[in-house]
Amino acid sequence: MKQISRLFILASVIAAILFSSGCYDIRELDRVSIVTGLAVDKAEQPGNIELTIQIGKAGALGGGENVGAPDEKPVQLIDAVGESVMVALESLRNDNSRILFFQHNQVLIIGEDQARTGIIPYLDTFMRNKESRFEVWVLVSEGNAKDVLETEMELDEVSAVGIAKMIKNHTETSKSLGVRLLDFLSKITERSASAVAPIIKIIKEEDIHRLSLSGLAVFKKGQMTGKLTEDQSIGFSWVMGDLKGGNLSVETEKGSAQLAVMSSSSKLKPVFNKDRLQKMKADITGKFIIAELTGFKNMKIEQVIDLLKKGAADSIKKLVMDCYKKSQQLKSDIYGFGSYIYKYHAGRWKTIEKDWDAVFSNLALEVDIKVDIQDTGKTGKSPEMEGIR
Amino acid sequence: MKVENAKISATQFMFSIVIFIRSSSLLSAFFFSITKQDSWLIVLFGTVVCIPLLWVYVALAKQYPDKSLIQINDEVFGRIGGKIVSVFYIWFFFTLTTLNLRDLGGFVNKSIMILTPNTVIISIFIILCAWSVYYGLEVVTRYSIVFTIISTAILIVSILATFNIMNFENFLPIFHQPVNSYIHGTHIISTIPFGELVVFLMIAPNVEGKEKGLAKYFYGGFFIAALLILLVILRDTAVLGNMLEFLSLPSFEALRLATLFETISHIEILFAVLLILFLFFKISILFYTSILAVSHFFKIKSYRPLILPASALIVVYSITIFENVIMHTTISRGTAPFFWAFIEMILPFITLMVSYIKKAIKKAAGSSKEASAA
Amino acid sequence: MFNFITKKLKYGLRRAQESKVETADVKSNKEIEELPITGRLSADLELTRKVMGTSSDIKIHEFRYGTNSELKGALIFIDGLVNSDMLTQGILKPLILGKNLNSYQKESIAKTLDTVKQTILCSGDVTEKHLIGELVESVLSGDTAFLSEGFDKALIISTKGWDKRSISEPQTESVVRGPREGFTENFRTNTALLRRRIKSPNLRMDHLTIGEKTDTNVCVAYIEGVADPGIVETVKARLKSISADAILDTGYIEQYIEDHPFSMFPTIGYSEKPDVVTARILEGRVAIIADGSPFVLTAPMLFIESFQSSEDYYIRPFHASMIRILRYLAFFISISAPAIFIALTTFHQELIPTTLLFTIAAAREGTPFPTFLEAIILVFSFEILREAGIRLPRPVGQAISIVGALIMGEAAVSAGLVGAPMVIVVAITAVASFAVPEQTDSAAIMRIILLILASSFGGFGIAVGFLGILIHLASLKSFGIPYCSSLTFNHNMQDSFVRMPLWAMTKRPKGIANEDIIRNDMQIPPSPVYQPPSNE
Repeated sequence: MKQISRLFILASVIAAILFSSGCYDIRELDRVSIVTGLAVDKAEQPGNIELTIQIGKAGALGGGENVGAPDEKPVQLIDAVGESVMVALESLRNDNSRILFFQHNQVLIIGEDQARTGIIPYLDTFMRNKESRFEVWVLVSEGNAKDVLETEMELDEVSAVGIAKMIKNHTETSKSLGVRLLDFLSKITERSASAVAPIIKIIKEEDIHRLSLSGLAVFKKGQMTGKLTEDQSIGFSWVMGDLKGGNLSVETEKGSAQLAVMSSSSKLKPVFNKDRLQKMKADITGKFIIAELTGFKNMKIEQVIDLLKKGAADSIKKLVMDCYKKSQQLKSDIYGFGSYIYKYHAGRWKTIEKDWDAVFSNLALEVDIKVDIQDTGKTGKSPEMEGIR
Repeated sequence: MKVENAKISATQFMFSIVIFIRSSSLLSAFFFSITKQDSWLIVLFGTVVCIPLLWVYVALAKQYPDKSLIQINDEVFGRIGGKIVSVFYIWFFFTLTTLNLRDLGGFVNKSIMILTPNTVIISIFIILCAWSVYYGLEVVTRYSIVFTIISTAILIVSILATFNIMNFENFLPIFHQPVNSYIHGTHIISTIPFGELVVFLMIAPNVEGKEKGLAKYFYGGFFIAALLILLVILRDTAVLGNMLEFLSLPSFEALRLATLFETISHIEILFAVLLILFLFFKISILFYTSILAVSHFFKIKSYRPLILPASALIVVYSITIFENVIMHTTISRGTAPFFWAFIEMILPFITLMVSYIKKAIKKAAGSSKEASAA
Repeated sequence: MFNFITKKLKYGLRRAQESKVETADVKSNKEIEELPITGRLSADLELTRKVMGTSSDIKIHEFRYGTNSELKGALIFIDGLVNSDMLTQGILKPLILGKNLNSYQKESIAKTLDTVKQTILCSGDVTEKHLIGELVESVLSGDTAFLSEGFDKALIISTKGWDKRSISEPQTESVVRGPREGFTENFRTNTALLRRRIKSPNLRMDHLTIGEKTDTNVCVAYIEGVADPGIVETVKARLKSISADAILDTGYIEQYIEDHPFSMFPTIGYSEKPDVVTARILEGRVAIIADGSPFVLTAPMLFIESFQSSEDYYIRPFHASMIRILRYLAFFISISAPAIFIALTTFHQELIPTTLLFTIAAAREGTPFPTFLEAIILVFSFEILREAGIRLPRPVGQAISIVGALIMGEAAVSAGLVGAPMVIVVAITAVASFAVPEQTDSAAIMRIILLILASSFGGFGIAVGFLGILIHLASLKSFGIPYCSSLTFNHNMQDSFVRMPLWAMTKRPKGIANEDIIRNDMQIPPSPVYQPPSNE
């Protein structure tokens, strides 16, 4: 009997704790707005930002029988102006009937104007906030970031989710470069203090608006300093050695070809001359498969490959140097040469740390490119080459 | 049932040590901010520093195989001196329990339950620990092996899942922090997780087969744990790079980035659950040793009546011990290691020395007596 | 205290006076049972009648026998409990027609009795009883008592033979491969089923009777030299300490002798299959068989026993191990799926993949109840359905489950009362809970506890709940053996998470069997190398 009464007391104490103190964090799904995208733009008032959030409407999005009216818009955009992200968020919260839920945020799009003014103070919010996640994709929009979120995509009802997919896809074909918030922050806080983020723009064709990723935005110390074109960004990837796919077009005097990139790697090496940084050396290796051949009349495949190797090396070098010149022009060490030197030659780094910008903008880059054509595809010949007449 | 007579197997003892140290991986933020990418070196240094320390512990346990630390104090320093030394230990045990409870509360608050008051989390957890302590040492240490296996499995999974985002350049440059930051870091790691092993002197008398080789299990557990901690720190460094020093929960953030098959992308919850398991284990052991120490101090037969008042005390203590997180970090980085070093390193060493001297004197007296008798 | 004593004293005095006044005939049943059999047939029968009352099934058949029918005798038996063929062919016929009694020796009653016992009665089990009580007891358990004028003993002839269920395939533990026999309600059949499997003389079946009113036969079966004598003694002592009026099923015994009556986990195992019980006895466990129950208890029980099915050992180890891991998984799902679902959808939405979150959120839109209430309603309605399905006659039960599960679930979802994901989760839980039948009851309780914890503290609540369950499991002991040993990697891992091949399981589980540890001497796996050379 004593045991039973003890059990009863224990049970009631536990029940009291549960009922009086539980459910602080409860967040029923029907009281939540799932934020899928964030856009930061420069507001008209000086010093203020315009924060736009994209909310996915569950009723219109979910599968099964509960799909709402077919013509209902699947997303909702709301925006607010404030002097900081938190202030803007506060007014967004006041305007919304539901709790804003940021953990599923896919993209953080920064308008070009705002990017050029500087984003460091806003990044702090994204770093500090418990709800924010570091794997958000960071993008810079050409024009207004809000418009990007507003643009509808054909296949993905929620454009932010679509953009995230697009980034993943483009990273695979090396058209662009996905940058997560963590990478971005990490790069910005590193010795080189420069980072890149992909640029997204809206292509207007008659009445259809389409989103497209092209090129990279270069940030230095949290401020956008310039842009890299699509080709330049491929050059950037060559130096970083993280090209995973895509095509390289090669022009030779005998014909032209498209080479599919299989893999790439790159080795950086600073060359010192008596403790003075002389130049950076990059050993780039690319492995390809022939994807397309035109020309090369009456040539043996071995000859063609030799030609192609040379041509490919040249075109890679052109891409690389083009990008490098641009980054020197922008005085932004996007390659992280500084960090690299700090990591491997920490003693020497101290001597050049102070005027790194100056050193970088005059630093020579020596590129050594090794091209390896591994396969010719399904055929070793081509209609125009010797063999088929 | 006389609980103090509970026997645990030597392997259980060993794996208890593993979990005990492993649960401190939460505290890695303390030294990450000091030694940055070289933190893994700190683990190695700490391990080396702690080997003689463990030797002292093992020697003490060997000297008095059937006595807990508090009883050893009584034996070595006499009645009054022993009590004075024991007070230090009891304060230390209680403070450790409290600190770990507070850490748990902070962690749960920061990671999964943002709005729930700390007090609630701490109270619920202490009820849980009190429950397991009520059943005695056997229940407290029963799951040590399972927990070790689970934790190792999850560690391996997490390393595999983060492997593609690891960047091994993050470890560079090696040895490029100021020298005193290495000393500081080593000091922290050798006092905060490693030196806390002094609590195991309270339960060493309950280990089965301790006569044969307590040392083997003591060292074994310690090295396994050090290896696991090393792996955790290597993983975090490789994943997070220079972001390491900015984050307050590095392991948590590292796992947030982990991806398995694209869809299973949020294995940080595993870490949270794991940490709760570990901290439960650690707090239970600390709680058990604290009240066991009190019961030995006052020579009470059973510690069980102490559970309720002690839990209440610990809850209040852990709520009031720090005003805020910043104070916690500052103290853990600054002052605490020095106090801890005194209690974990200097006191046991003195105890051992005094006991040796006493033994020598006794022997001398004995031999002189024999000589006089002859 | 004093009051009590005086009352007793007064009562005693009054009784003494009364007994003086009244005749010996009006004794209480208890006292009559203590009386010896006198040898005067009419008086003995009178006493027997008094004890047994006038029930219609009690037959007292008086007859004359001997060569010249000069002997008076009587048979007492209960109609329906005795085998009437045996009664007529084995007892009445030889007695009445028997010619062996022509040398009736009046001077030596004992000798006559011996003659009857040895040469006339055609039965293998004849015993002598001296007290009325013993006689009545034997008669009540289905034997026939033979009384005769001049004999101060009763011959008890075993004629048990009532209608019983034949051995059939058990309903609870069906197997695809393996023996299909099941225990029955008949005590002797059950012991025989065990004896037939273990032909070792060391198989002990110690007999006890428990229950003041029911006098149920209970038997403790174990192998001497394998089972831990301490455990055997504990089991017997606990059985003896039962002072209840009835044992109707082994379930009664379980509840009277278990270690932790306040725990939701069973600490005594049971099985309906003789092969399972045999295997457990061979591992050093003790089996408790009770008359009237087809379920045999086995003790001590470990937690992992619930996850071991007899079929695990009859099929090859790979699939058996996989199935066993699945069982653990199913158990985990069955206790935690609703709780995890609640924690995910109301606390940690960040852990759900984005697309899935939209789907779940869409299902949530417009449902009226909080998620917790929704879960509780569904979990309880599942329990109700299960209960209804079990108790009803089978055809109706099926109808109930179809109506309940399919129609109601579907209608509730399409009416927007509950979300479809929740229905799915509860359905998975329900299915999973049947994978571990022995823990279905405890799982149902744990599920609800975890559900409540999860709905107030999310993931932290689940962690706390699991830790609580783990602590509780660690604190349990079954007859001195920690309940969760083998689960905590202490020893005996050969047969826990995976089942090792039989030839590798060389030892009996440590802790349960302490003597004669070696189970087999194979050491090495069977392989073509060890085949005997052919004779060609």
